[in-house]
Amino acid sequence: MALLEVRNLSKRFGGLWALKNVSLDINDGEILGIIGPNGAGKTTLFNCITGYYRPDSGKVVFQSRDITGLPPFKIAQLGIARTFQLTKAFNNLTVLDNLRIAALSRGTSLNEVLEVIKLVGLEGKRNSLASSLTILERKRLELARALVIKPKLLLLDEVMAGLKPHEADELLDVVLRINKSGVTIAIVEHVMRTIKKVCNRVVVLDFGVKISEGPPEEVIRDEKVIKAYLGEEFVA
Amino acid sequence: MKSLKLNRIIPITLILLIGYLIPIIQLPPYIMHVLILVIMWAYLSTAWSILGGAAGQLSLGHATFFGTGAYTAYFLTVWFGLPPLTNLLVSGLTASLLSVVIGYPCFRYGLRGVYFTLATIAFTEIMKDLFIYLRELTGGSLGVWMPVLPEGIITLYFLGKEAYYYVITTLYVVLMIIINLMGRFREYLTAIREDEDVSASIGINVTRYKLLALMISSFFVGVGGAYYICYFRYINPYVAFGLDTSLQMVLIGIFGGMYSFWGPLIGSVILTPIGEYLRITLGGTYVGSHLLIYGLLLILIIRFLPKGIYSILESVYSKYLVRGG
Repeated sequence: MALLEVRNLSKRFGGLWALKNVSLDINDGEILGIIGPNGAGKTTLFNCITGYYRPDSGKVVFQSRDITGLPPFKIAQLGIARTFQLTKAFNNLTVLDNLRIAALSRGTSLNEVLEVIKLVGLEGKRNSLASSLTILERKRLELARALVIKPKLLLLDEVMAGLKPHEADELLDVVLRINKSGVTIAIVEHVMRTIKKVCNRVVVLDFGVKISEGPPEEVIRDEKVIKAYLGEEFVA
Repeated sequence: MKSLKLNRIIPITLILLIGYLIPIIQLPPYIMHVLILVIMWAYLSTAWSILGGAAGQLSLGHATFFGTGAYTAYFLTVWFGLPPLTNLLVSGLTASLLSVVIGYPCFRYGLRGVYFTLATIAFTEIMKDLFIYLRELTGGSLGVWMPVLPEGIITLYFLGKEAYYYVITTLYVVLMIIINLMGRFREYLTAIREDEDVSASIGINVTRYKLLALMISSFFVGVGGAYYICYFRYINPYVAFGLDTSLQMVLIGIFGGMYSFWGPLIGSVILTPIGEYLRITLGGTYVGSHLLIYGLLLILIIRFLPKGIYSILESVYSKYLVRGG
C-alpha cells in the first residue's frame, strides 16, 4: 500500500524543469532510494513533498490526503519529517535543547528524546552546542531531530554525503534500525553503495524526469541509468 | 533544584522592593523624572525585545506602535472623554491591531531579515507623514496637548512624580510577569530566531508565532506610548513616529542584552541617565552629541559583549551565587 503518492509533479525554475511529470509511490514500511546525478531534481522533489516549494502542477497524496501546497509545518505535523542536505540546526543551543524544542510541538516526552539521542549515538554530545559538532555529528543531529517528531515517513536528503565509508556504515545501521521500528523511509543519495545496502526499491531521476524504477540490482544495469551517470559511450 | 529556584526568587524580590521603595526617600523631582525615564525605556525596550530579541525579527520601526498608542490615548481622552487609565489598554489593542495589518503580509510572504527591518522603518515614516499631513485631525507637526484633568489614578493625571513612577513600574512588572509566563511560546520564538526552515520542519507554525510575538510586543509598546502622553502631556509626530524613538528601544536592548529578561532594564539603567546627562550638558551647544557617545558605546558592546552587559552579570552570577547555593 502506498503511504505517499506523487502524481505528475512538475516544478519549474524559470526555463528549467527541475521536475517534469514525476510520479512515484512510497510504500508503507519500505526504504525507497531516490538517486540521480547532480541537478536531477532529487532535493527539489523533497522540497515539493514537504511544502518548502509549491509545485507548479501535480499532486502529493499522503495517507489518502491531498497535501499539495500545504505549508511545511503542517506537513511535519501530519507525520512527514525531513533532514536538510546542507545541515541546519539551532546553532546556539545545545544538542539536547535542539531536540527538546523539536519535541514540543508533537508532545514527545523527555525520555523518548533521550532514547533518540542514544539511538543516533549523540549521548556524549548532549550538552554541546550544535555549532561545535563535527559533520558526522551534525548529520546525526539532523536524523535525531527528524525522529523526535515521531514521523510515519522520513525523508533523508544525502545524510551520508561527506562521510568516510565507515562513518556512513555506522549511520546506515541507524537508518536500518529506524526502519525496523516501523518508519517508512525515502533516502536521496549519490552513492550507489549505500543505496544497494539498504533499499528494497530505487527510483532514478535525471534532469527532472523519472528514467527508471525497480530493485537496485536491476536499476544499475538499466541502459538509461548508465547513460545518465556515465555518458553515452559506456552503454554496452 | 530548590536552591536554584531560591536563587532566582531572592534577586527578583530585591529588585522589586528597591523599585517600589525608591520614592520613599524623597528624591528631588528631576531625579524622579530620570528614574521614570529609566523604567519607561526599560519597559519599552523589553516589549520590543519580545520580537526583536526573542524572536530575532529586527524591527527598527516600533515607534509606529508607540506613536499609535500615544495618539489613540489622546483621541480617546479628548474626543470621547474616556478615562485615560482604561485608554492605556485600548491604545495597546489598537497598536496591536495595526501590527497585524503590517506584520501579516510581511510574515506571510516571507519578508525576512533586512527586508523586514526596512519595511518596519518604511511604515514608521508613512505614519509620521500621515500624522503631519492630516493636520485637522492630528494637530499636524505642532503636536497635541493633553487637557488638564482632575487628579487621580483614573485620569492618570498627577501633580507629583511619585505616582507616575509607580504606574510605569507596575506596567513593567506586569510585562515581566507575562514574559515569564510565556514558557513554550518563548521556546518556539528561540527556534524561529535560530532557523526558520528547521522550525517549520519540526512542525512550528513560523508565521503564526512571529505574528503573535509582534502583536504582544506592539501591544505593550502601544500601552507605553499611551503612558508617555499621560506623563509628558504633549506629543508630536516627530517624537511619536521618530526613528530616534525606535532606535532607543533597540539600542537599550542590544546594550543590556536583548535575549534576556533583565537585559533591557540593565541597558536602560546605564544608557538613559547617560543620555539625559549628555543632553543637558552638551545638548544646548552640540545638538545630538549624546548620540555620538551612544554610538561609541554600542560599537564597543557589539565588539566585545555581543550578548550585552547582562552576559557579564550572568557569568558572575553563575560563578559565585549558584555554586554557593
